[in-house]
Formats: sequence, C-alpha cells, structure tokens
Amino acid sequence: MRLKRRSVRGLLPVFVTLLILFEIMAYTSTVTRTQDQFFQLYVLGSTGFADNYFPKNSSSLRLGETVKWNVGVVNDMGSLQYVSIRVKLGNATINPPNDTLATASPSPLIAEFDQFILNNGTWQIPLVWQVANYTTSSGGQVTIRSIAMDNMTYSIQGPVTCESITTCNFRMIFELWTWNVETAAFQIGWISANQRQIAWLQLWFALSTYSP
Amino acid sequence: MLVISQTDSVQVNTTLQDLQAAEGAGATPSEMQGLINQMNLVASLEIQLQNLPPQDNTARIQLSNEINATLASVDARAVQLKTVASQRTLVDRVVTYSTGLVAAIIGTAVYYFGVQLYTIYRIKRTLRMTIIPR
Repeated sequence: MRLKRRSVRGLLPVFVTLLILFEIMAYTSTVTRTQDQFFQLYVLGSTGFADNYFPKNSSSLRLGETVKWNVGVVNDMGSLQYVSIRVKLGNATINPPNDTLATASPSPLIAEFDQFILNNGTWQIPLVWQVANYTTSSGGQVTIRSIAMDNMTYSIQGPVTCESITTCNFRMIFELWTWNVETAAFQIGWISANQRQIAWLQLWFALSTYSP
Repeated sequence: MLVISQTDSVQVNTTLQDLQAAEGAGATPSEMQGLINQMNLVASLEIQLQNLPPQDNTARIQLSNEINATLASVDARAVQLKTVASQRTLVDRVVTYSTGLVAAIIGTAVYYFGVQLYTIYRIKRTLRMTIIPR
C-alpha cells in the first residue's frame, strides 16, 4: 500500500506527538533523581534489637562485666562514603557533640572503626566491651582508667572522673565522622545541601562497687 | 585517633574520588564490592600500621608498601571500571531513546492502519446500504 503525500502530512502530527510522549518517558526513566543525603547511626542491644543493652538490664556495671552492642551506619548519601565511628568516654559534665555548631565532643577517644560503605549500604559492627580498670581517690572520686573493647585494652587518655561511685554516671558517646574529599581528612558529620550535619548517640552507664 | 600519613591520605582521597566517579558513571554494586573490600583492607592495614611500635621499621615499610600497592591497584581498576560503566550507560541511554523513536513509528503505523481499516469499514457499510422509497 503506497502512502499518499496527503496521508504522510496527516500522520506527521501523530508521529511527532507520540515521539515527544515516548521520549519524555525515556528521559524520566534515565534521569538521576536528586535525593536527600544523610546517614543513619544506630546502636542496638546484644540481641540486635533496641533492648537488652546491658547484662540483666542493669546499667550499673561491675568491673570486667561484658557489654554487647551492635553499632551500625546506613549510607544514604547517594555515593560511596568512607566513614569512621569514634567511640568516646564521657561523664555527666563533659560536653557532648554540639548539633548547632557541629563540633565533636572533647571527651577522650577510646577506639575508632573505619569502613568504606557503598550507597544504600549498611555497616554493622558488634561491639563487645567492659570497664577494665578504674580507680577511686581518697576523696571518693572515681576515674575510669581503661576500657577493654574487642580484645584490645584502651587506656583512657584524659581524666573522666565522677565525684562518687554511687552518684554519678558515665556515658559512651558514638560520633559519626566522614571523609571529606576536599580536605582529604575525616570531619565530624557530613555536608548535605551546603550544611554540616552531625550524627551521634550516647548510652549512659554507672559503676557498681561489687566486683565479681 | 587514626592519623593517616600525608602520602596515604592523598592516595586514599584520589582512589575514593575515582571510586565515586565509577559509581556515578553507573558501575553496579557487585562490580564495586570487590574494590570496596580492598579499600576496607587498606583501612585495617592503616590501623595495624598505627599500632606498630615506632622502632619496628621493617614491618612499617612492609605495611606501607602493601597499602600503597593496594591503593594503586584499586585506583587503576576504578578508572577502568569508570570507563566501562560510562560506555555501558551511554549505550543504555541510546537504546532507551531509540526505543522511544521505534515506539513512536510503531504507534504511528498502528494509527495509520487503524484509520485505514475504519475507512474501509465505513465504505463497505455505505455500499451495503439500501435505499427504501417511502
């Protein structure tokens, strides 16, 4: 069947309309959508749920008593990221990380765990730790000297003290640091939409006078 | 705190940027996973290096060399992966847009033959009509 010139002229608007329609569909299927860029930082208990954080559900720890946590990071930044979880030991008076100023806590660092995470990837580490050593001064001040974590004993490089073993609490602070490709170094938090965001968590514990 | 040496931090930075470029060019997670595992090995070697006593020069040099070799190897593969992934993405795009063109041609042909069939039906229907005088 031969197409007449008049038929072709009549079909041209149909063809152009269909072409525009299908090419829009092709474009929407190939275009990269911008998404919110963020990380998720979490700490779960020994069972992998948000409970059983401490043995016998008591946050009063004895010397050498083992605590098991699962610390995780989810990368929703839209690209591969190099992240670091920094575990610090604080007391009630030392400053935690500042969300407004996006600054890290001045608490002493216990350990650091680094990992490259793919986009939409999750990194979870089992963290097993215990208070390895603490001292009590003549005035009753308690100072944690070392923490054992994942078969390593870390000396605490700074005074984390409490007025009395019965009245004060300590805390484990987890800070999320990420590699900044512009400065070629780790920075606290990450930059999203030209704004510095930070993620951190803390879990409080006390010391029990009873030694096993 | 993990302090990566100046040379290593520059090399880690370059490799990370090349890996991100490969990922952005369309490398799949399965293609990237092997390289990520190597980079995580580098991260653990950096920690080992930092925990070594300063006087243990032989082990330090050995670890440093291993780190540098791994980083160089991952970087080279990331650059290669980026080229392959970007070519594949380009071909995918061309195929997708060509599919749009083919779909438009098929759609137009369907429309044309549909109109033709309808016209034939209308003509046949008209020819079958009988004139009944009143």
